[in-house]
Amino acid sequence: MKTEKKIRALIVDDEALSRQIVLEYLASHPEIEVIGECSNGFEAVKEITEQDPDLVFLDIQMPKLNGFEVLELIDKKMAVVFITAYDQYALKAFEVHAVDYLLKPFSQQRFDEALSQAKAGFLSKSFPRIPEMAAVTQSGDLILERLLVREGSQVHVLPAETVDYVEAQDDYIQIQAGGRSYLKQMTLSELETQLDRKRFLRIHRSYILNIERITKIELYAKDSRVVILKDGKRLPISRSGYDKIKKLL
Amino acid sequence: MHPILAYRGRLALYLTAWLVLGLLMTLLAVSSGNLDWPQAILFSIPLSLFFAFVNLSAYYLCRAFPLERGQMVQLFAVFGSVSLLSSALWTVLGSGWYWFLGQIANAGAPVQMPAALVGVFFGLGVVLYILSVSVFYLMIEFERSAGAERREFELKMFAQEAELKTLRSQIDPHFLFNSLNSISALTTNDPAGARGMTLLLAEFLRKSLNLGAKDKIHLAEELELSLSFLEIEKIRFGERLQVLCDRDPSADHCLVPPLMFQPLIENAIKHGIAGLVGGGLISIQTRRSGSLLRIFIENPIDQEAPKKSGVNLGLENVTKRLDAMYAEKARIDIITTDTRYRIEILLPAEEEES
Repeated sequence: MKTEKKIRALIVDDEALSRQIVLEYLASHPEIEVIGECSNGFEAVKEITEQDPDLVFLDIQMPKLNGFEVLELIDKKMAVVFITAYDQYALKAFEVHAVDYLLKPFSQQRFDEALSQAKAGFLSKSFPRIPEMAAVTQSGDLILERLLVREGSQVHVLPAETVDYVEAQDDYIQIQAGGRSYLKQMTLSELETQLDRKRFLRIHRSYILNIERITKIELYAKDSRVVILKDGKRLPISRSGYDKIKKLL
Repeated sequence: MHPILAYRGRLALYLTAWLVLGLLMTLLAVSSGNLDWPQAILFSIPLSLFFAFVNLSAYYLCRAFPLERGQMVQLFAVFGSVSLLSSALWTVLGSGWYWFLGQIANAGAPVQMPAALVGVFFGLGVVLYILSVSVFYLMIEFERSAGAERREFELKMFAQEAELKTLRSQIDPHFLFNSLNSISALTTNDPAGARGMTLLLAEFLRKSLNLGAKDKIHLAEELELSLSFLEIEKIRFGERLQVLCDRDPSADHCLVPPLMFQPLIENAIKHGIAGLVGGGLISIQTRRSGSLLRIFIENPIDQEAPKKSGVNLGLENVTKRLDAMYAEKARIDIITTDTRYRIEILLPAEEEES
């Protein structure tokens, strides 16, 4: 008979006491192995990327990145149990297919329920890949204030106002900000719906532009124009893109 | 209350208007030829003043027959007949008085008031009565709308007061949930710590209930309350939370609205310490210079955190309360750098009158 593989779990919470209680409740579950504890979002992204846990106990309000932002940056299959004192994120948590949502303080019994949910999920292998979640975490009517990009286990936080323009690259987008470019798995149309429409315009099938970077617009052939940015970069504008700019400026 | 009789100033103005009318009537009486000037004045002034008071009574009739749709016929009937009646009474009295004065002037020979003058008086009486009625209706309507306005204003004040009361008693429930979670975690490994935290929490809640019920408290009490709140948060955040309280003893006895600091300190934790991996220092400073009280609350913030675009409820509440209490005598300034957030509160230094 094959010995059952242990479930590898990561605990992410910025409060030591909160991590401690999860550890304590896990003591009666020898089938679960705690592979690490993280106290902020950056650490969590690093650990999840490097260690590939099966199960993550994830706080929502944390320094650097919140729990949802952590998930957005990860493309792994895993079970997520949110643990928080705030009940207003519950809906969003289930939109990102969290296994469970524990409200602080919680009992051992309630915690065990969450664990059995997670185990049931492992058996049926019903966890979605996280990129599917990411699309949900970013939907909604909130305007995106910062873009998150992961390179390996490193995370870049790009405030929206520092972004010059974004170019479509198949399934990826290339973000130009602060003199360098970042690649992120996302489509241009997805991004377009999330950015501030007063600042960012889809000027072309393949480009979203921060209109504050425009110095001038030039006509270079009949009916086709280019926009010239402050750093001298030239980007094509479609006719509908030109109409949008005219309307906004 | 009668809108004219009850106010001396209005009554004087009203009677003056009637005196002017009385002078007009004097002219008419003189032109009738039977009376000389003094007699004409003696005739018309008492007569006009008498009718002035008769017309004042129209107010009660107006109250008895409020303006309502569908009642117009009834109103016309009532006021038509009353005006005719009172004018007739006035005219009869007037001609009697005319006759009496004329007899004195003409040494016994009977003098009738000329028919033309009788007609003029009667017509004038009717018109004046109707005029008074309209004026009273206008006054009643005006009074009613002013009353409605005042009631509305009173309601608004009342609502504002109620709002302020709830604002002041607001303690973030998540603080309680987080604290209970910490206690729950301590129970197994550090029972003494769990008990300590329970006691701190109880003390804080009791203090905030007691102080919250008062209108104003000493700055020292408010500071103690904030410090006991931070003491509890220290258990949750551990090394990440440091507190520095630099107080000016001469400011301790100044009066401030209770729980004024609470939302600000909560913000300092929520938007400051909680967002920083290494935490930081919350510093509270009080200073008194003469009649001014200054309070500074400062906390570190995460440079990379997105600037909060939404309204800051806690700060807004405090601003509203100070505004309601001190108006332009209080001020709140926010000074932010990339890494620090500082609130400066300026209040009049009030002390209890001993």
